Amino acid sequence: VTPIAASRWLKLAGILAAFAAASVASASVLVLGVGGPLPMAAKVPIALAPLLPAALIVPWVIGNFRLMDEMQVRHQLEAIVVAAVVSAFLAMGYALLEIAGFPRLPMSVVWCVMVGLWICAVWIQRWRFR
Amino acid sequence: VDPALAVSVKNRVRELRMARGWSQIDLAAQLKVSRQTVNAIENLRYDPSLPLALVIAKLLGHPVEAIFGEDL
Repeated sequence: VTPIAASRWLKLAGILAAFAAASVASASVLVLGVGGPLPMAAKVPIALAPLLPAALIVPWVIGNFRLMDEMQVRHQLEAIVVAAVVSAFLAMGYALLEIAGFPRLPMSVVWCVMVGLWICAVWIQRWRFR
Repeated sequence: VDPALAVSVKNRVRELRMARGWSQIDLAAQLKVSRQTVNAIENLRYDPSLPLALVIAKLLGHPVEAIFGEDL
């Protein structure tokens, strides 16, 4: 691992730790009721507070793309396309199963599936071009 | 691209790199790309962009048309 790569992973760890801390603090207030009952106008910004540290992921991802060479960028873009198409297919399939009586799943599951597929597709590309 | 005009690009990157005694890692470091990219170019699994091909040509000391082409 190069020093640049190590510092980037350290930065990601810091962003995720900040997101986790903000999520715990937000949930403590909203779910556990720490600090007493709150009006809806106060609940909305508290619920969305974890998005502030999470937004730092955007420059982190863009920065990672800029460090890649042209073949790596192409592989990443192909992996994103595969992940988007397959997760769309799975989401539509599960929507049809919900009509048949399967339990409803939260919207965030689609994003988790897409990221999982993205990671798998990138690893397959790395294995093919190792 | 019209299939009638499609070309199969070959290259002499491996031959010229080895003539200089460079490893794939050495060439990749000079090009600021990954070793996997150099390997993919040498094995004809990836065609580099024109700017990268020009840098490769400059490093290997030959005109780009002597390194990349259809009839090598």
